[in-house]
Amino acid sequence: MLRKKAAGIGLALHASAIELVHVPEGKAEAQKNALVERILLSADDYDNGYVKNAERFAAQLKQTFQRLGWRRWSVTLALPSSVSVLRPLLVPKMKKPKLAPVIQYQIGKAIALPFSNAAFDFAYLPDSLDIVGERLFPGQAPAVPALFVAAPGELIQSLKAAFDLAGVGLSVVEVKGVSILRALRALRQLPMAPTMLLEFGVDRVDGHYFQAGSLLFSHTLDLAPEKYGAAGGDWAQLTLQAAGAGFERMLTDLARQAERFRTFYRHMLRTDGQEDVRELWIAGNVPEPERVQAFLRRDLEGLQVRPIAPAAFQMAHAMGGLRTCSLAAIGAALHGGTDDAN
Amino acid sequence: MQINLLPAPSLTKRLRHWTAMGLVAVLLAMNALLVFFWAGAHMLMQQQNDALVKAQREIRQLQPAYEEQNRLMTLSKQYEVLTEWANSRPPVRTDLELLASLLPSRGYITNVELLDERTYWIRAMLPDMAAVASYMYAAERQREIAQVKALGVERKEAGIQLEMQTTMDREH
Repeated sequence: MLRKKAAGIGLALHASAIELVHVPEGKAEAQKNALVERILLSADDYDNGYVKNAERFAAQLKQTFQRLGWRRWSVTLALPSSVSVLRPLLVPKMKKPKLAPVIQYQIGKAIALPFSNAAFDFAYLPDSLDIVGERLFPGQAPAVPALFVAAPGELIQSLKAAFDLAGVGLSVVEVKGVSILRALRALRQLPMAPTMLLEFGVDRVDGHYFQAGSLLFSHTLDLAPEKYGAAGGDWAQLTLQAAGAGFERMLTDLARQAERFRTFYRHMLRTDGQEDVRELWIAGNVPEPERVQAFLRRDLEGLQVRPIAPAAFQMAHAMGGLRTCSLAAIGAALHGGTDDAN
Repeated sequence: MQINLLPAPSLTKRLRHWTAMGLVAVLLAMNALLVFFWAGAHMLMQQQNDALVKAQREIRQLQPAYEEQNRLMTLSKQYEVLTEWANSRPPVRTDLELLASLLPSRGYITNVELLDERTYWIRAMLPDMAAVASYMYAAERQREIAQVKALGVERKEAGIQLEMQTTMDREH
């Protein structure tokens, strides 16, 4: 096509903020020219993916888009990991449109969820991936691995309604792990070996588990900047107080929770024939990245700790300088999915 | 890996969407066709206009030559008409030369009138009656003359004045 490809607009929802990223033409190689903006939201209007006051939420979103002059259609949204459920499944080998009603039928039966009225989707995983997952229709062969992703239907509907109110058209609502995978692919650092990735968002830390270049699991760590004395619910504020005891406590908690989830991955997701988790990647708005890296390397034995640091991005607003951004927001702004068994 | 938790649009919505898209596509195609035909017609008209302008320019260039040709043709036609007219006239000069050549010596024609295409009224002065008879006889014997009729003879001081009517033989 001769027509210039539209810019990629991606939004990552955090506990109390939204990161907005604009990547020219949505191309991986244009990441360095990405523009980043952040909307801090009041707890009365929004909380961890849930829109509490649609009018005020929409007004703030609309105002930001108008100020930035970005395209307001075909926007990709990455949900907070805490509101979504990811589950590896072994499903009958059939085409995706035919499998969807089968999975729909199994929700609440073979697939137990902590909420009713689920909005769900799934993606096939590579056939070679030997996973430990719930098997739909036991005994039926052949079965193929797939990743089941679900979120409360009301949450998706309320988000869509709020975005519609703001005049912003959502084209994709995905989970952060998928966005991160796209960003990693663009950075040519696709995790092929069993890998844990800790991403510092604006105000939470998410853990993701990847294997064979695919996402298998995501969760949100019980860490919040406020707990460690950072004002404004922002990890960046913790950086300013890095010398304090709060930062040390945060590192201790981070290492403990990382170890706990490493054990979980070992026993719940890994099969006997597969190698152990040996990689721990750290990404996002990491406060004092060198200190965090050194601490985890010392505290978590047998793990290779590696920072994933894309170039600093330009803030969209006039007064902004360069700053880091979560991989999830960057990935959401990139066009196209990643190659998989689809 | 692609995940989209947005609900898929209903069949009605999708049908409506595709119908609208189809309609837009048809309208765009029709618009493109109209533009194509309009451009074609415009180009054709332009070509015709160019040809007309060229023809007018050539006509202007050829106008003097045409007028000259026309003048020549008019003259030619006039000449033809005149020639035709001249051919349709009786050969008066030839006839008179013949009649004059028949006159005896000292005889001369004093008056001639053309009565019709074949007939002359002639008045001649001759020296004597013998010359008159000789002249009448000579005229009668001419193959070109069908009939000679003497109308009168009168003696004059200069000689004998003869008035006669001569009818030429045009069939000859």
